[in-house]
Amino acid sequence: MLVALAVLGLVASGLVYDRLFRERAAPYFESDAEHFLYGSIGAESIDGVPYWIWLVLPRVFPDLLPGAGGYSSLGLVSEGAHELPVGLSMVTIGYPRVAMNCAFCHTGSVRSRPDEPPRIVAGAPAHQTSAQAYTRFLTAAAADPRFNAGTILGEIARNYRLSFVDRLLYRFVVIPGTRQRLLRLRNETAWTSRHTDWGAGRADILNPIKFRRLGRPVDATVGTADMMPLWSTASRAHGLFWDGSTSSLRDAVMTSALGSGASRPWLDRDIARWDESGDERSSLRRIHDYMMALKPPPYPFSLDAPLASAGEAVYKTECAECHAHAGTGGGDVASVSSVGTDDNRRTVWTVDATTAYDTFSGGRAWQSPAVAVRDGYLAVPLDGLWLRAPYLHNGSVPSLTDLLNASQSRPSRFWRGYDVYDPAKVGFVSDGPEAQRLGTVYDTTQPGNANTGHSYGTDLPAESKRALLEYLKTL
Amino acid sequence: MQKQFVRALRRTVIGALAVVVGAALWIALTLTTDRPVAYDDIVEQFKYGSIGSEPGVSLLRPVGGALPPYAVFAALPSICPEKLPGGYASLGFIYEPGHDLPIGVARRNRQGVDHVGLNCALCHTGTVRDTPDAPRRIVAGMPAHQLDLQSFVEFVLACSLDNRMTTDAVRGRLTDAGGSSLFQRALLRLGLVDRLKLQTLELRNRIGPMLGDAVPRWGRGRVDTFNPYKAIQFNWPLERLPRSELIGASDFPSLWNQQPREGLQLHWDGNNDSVDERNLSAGLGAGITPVTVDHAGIKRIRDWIWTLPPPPYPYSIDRALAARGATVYQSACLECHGDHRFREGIRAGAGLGRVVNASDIGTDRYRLDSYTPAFAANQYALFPNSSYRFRRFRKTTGYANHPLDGIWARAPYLHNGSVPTLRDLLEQPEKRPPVFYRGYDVYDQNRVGFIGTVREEGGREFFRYDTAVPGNSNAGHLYGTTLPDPDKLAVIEYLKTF
Repeated sequence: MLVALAVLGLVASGLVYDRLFRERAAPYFESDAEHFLYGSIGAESIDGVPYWIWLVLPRVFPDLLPGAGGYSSLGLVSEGAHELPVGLSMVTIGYPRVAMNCAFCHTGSVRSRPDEPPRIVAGAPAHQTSAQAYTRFLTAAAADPRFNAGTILGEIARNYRLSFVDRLLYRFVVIPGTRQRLLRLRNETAWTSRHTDWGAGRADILNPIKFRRLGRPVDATVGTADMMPLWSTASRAHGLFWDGSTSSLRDAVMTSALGSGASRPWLDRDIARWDESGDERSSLRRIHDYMMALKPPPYPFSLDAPLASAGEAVYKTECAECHAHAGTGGGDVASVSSVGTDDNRRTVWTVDATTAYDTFSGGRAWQSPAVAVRDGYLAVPLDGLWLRAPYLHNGSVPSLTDLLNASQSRPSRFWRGYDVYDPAKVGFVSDGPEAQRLGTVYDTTQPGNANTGHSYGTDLPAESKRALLEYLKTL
Repeated sequence: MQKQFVRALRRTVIGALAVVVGAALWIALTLTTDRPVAYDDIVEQFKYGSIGSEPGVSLLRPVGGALPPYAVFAALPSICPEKLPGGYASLGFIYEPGHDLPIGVARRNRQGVDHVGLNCALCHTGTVRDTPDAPRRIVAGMPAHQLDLQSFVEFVLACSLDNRMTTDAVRGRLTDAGGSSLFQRALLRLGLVDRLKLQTLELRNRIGPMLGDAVPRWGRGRVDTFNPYKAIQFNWPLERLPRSELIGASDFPSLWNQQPREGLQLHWDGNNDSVDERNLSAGLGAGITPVTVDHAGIKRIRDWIWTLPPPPYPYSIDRALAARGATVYQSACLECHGDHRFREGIRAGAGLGRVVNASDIGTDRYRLDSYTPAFAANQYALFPNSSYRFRRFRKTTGYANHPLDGIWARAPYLHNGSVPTLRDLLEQPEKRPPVFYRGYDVYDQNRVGFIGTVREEGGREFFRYDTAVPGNSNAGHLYGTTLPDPDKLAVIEYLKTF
């Protein structure tokens, strides 16, 4: 009898371990490009949402999404070859779990006409994706009374037949547990409701690290900035991130993974494999290498070559000093007092945060050198400039045409996230019924959203501006 | 005495236990039933066999299905007689001798309940008459040009929710044909009808924004393939979509000769190039779900339509004229549409099965625009975690050039069925009929298509197709419209041989 009970207990605990905790190897993708789009960066153990729950949430809570269309209404893009949208990875830790990876914020969608299928550009800023709205959707669902085992299992049953054991575990452990985790995330991100909304294509990646991972008290700083392109990082020894706070791509990748929810044990394991080869290679190393080789996509619309070459001359006198890779001031940080752009992003990474981060990462292989508060923003390289729209670090100016106007003449209210391109203004279409329906509103009067500063080129004669604009398309 | 009592007690307890165990076994066995009505003959299977579109998984929370159980389905027309005076037949359902259900409605016992479900034949079996007095030819695989699917759905929803649809009304109409078993009678008493009404309400809430006159009606022979799917599969709030996106009615296509279609861009807008995925996707419209689908049942139909030949033109053909038409066709049509040899699997014409931009074809663009990249993205998670998962759907920019096998039986023409006959299609849009009637099945051998001037026959009203209504435009596809008249006639004669 006792032996039978013991055996039964062993089997049951084995089953529970297998279905709730046992971590399987992350799916391996042959190419680094696929790995970038769908591979894991270790965020599943902290923020992973059980796949079957994730799948049905938009169908149970369509009213909590910004529009019809499921996750697509948040700007997520999909390719038929994969079940998940770009930017989400799935790893089985007990049960399959879904979490973000780098591509969530770094894969862009662009169309030349509204009736065209979107072109998905890996490594481009995800100007169409509302990362904050994604988290808010998940956490709002958890706070809703409909987030219960009956409703969720009922919807899962329309899509997939879970085994009897799994149904029991989902009912009594996985669904309530997921709800608790998401509610905790809701508390941990509650501060965002007191800050300016990120909207599409922007994120505050520093404050979540500061408040959530480092446990620093919530402050009023606004770190919201445009998602950045990942190409041509090989040539950027001068600085990465908007404030140029690191010059090591390895550090940048690790910090970003941390900001996206990678767990510390996962980072330890992954960094230990940094120099391995083949399918043992570190996940972040693969992304690092992918970025090293990534090139910006050329401007896809027609170009006026003579006009562009006239524009090159303007560029050389007006812009190259700061923005050209080989310019004399190339890639330096220009102080806010001289550039005049919004000051908020610069001030987020406080001395206190630096100290806390050193403690948090102390002794770990992925520890980065301490970062000091910078006094301005990096003069970023302008390659693939056409796809970097909207412009400035906070994405406050919808097009290059607007950027070449004095700040009073730039739009004070526009819509971000609509992916139809406007080659005349050089930027995404930022107003009109479809941009308003599919995009998120950007109000330059909100804290962190100022469109002031960077007045370079704004007083050029119209003809020079036209030529310069044409040249900028070729970058 | 006491011994006897104990023995009697023991006997009673054992007897009672046996009854309880027996009842439990019986219920358990009943609840695990999944028994489709199947036919050896493949044409019968196509017409009446199940593809798994009946509700399943759980009695209390059924998954899938578009219809109420057999007993209710059969009773509805007599419960709400004024809503459907001519019965299901008046909506274009085809009844054959020896079957109590119409073509396209299959039976399957799931969890002890006699269910009915739609199958492929409902939308893909057409009727043709030579004259008003001639018998109906029933052509399996042909577009159901006579079927008013939208009115059918609306009737089932409305009558299911009608106050007269009660447990007693259903019990009073039970027949031996189905639904009269002890188990089902017990379910009826236990509130099956109330539960059904709740499920019907949920369905109606999901697809409500496209019912009635909220958007232009589909009319006979047409369906909006993807919008109901947005609501039913994904629970998109349709009212939050632009109204123009909810206009997507298009003609039922033919099912024959699928083998040479594999790899061509299928669906009117060419959004998928896999016959199997296209089949499964169409099955979702009939009520299957990833968990209730009968893959084996669908495979049987798939294997049959793979090589099903298109029906030969049933009337005389002027062979000499057709031969002359072949020459004209070669220069005017072949490049995009292939030729008569497609029925033998020969894919002529470089543009066959490829998409041409909507602006180049000039036909109505609503159907194209109703299929969006966001919708494709959602489709990729259908049939999740299985080899059936959808991978091949893509947003396109126009309409696909379809092969023309059996084209005589595919009238009316263009993707939205806006042109009644081939003769009309070869006219400039201004000269095509601006208004005509769809659903009458007497064939017009001169113009090649169905007669479009009959409004009503024996109480059956046909669909007044107004080309001025959004989604119904008959513009575009100007190819061949400038040919001299004799050439047009010759091309039409040649098309009869397809």
